[in-house]
Amino acid sequence: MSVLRPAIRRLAKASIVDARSFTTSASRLQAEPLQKPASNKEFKIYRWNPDEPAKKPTLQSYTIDLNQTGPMVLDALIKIKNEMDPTLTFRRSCREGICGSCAMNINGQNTLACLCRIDRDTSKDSKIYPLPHMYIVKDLVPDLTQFYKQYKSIQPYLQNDNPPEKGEFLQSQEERRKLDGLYECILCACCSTSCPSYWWNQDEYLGPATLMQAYRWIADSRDSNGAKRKEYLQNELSMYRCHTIFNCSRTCPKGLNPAAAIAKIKLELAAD
Amino acid sequence: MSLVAVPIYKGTVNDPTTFPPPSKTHGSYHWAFERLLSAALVPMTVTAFATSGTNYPLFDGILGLSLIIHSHIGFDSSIVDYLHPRKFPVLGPIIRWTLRAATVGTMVGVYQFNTNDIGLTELISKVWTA
Repeated sequence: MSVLRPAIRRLAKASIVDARSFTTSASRLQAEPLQKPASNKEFKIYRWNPDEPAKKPTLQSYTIDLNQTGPMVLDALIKIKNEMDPTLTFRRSCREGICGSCAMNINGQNTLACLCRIDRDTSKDSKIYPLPHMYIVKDLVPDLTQFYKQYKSIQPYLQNDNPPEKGEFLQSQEERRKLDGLYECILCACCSTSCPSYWWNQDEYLGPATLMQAYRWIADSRDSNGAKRKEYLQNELSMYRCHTIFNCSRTCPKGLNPAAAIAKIKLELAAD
Repeated sequence: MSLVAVPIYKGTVNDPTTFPPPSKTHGSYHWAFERLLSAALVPMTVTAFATSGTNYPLFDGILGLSLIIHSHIGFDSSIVDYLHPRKFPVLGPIIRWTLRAATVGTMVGVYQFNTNDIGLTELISKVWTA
């Protein structure tokens, strides 16, 4: 033991020196983090808890430092949920505007939280509500059951009893181009829930998102069920509750134009 | 206090919504008629005011009738939007028949006014310049 001790001591000494040199040199090499002044912004977020149904919904206030937050509203929400209040409930998934989960009403406009930049003006607060005029599951989570049931009702899939002998359906470039601006819809429900007609009559009126998808299949050259698809809309409520308000096209976070699609259906039905 | 949530959807969550029975009268014909009538009102108004109501009572009469039908369609659309009988089983039909009665009453009134008095166009011209 006594023979080994100096060796152990030497080893221990060497490791301490190593450790010290590693930490000190690394911290010297690293750039000093830029000390930005705190930029505190207030977020007022709609809260409602189904476990306390008698309690009215309230706006809860959270103040966070924008210089310690990512640029988008979704970053702020995730920061609040991680660091301040884990009970805050919202949907999110892809954080890049392709899944449509984080659709909500931010400062009066329906949009995707992940595509909406935080307003850097700290003198004004940011108000975040769920999609308007929907049943609320909790906080910022709306019940989209009816929306999906309506989407299902237009049979959003290719229907053609005469498939080509071999190979696949061929389309000309013009036929394919008709689907541009229609197929990109991610069904986030921003447009439908911004439509006053959909607010008042969402049990019967299909709403801009579903109608645009209805047109996406009417316009598809490979689909042979167009007559039936159009006949479904020949009534007072399913489509003709559209009064060309254009909130749908104004709010679409993907820059699509549901109002134009509905206008084209109306034109096709009138020419029928 | 317990609240019972009543979902607006029918059937299970996996059933698609259903469509009302198809009717072109309530669908595309109604829409096309409404748009054509609205567009036609512009030349009708110009014609009625360019000619004289007393010399050409026909233009005056057509304008009066078209305006009333146009208004009727507009009010009827509001009723479908806000007071549809499926949601207002009592008030809905009452207001719908009230509108029909008002429309017929106005038609009779305008007819009387156009045949026995100066007529719609000249009245508006007089009020305009008064």
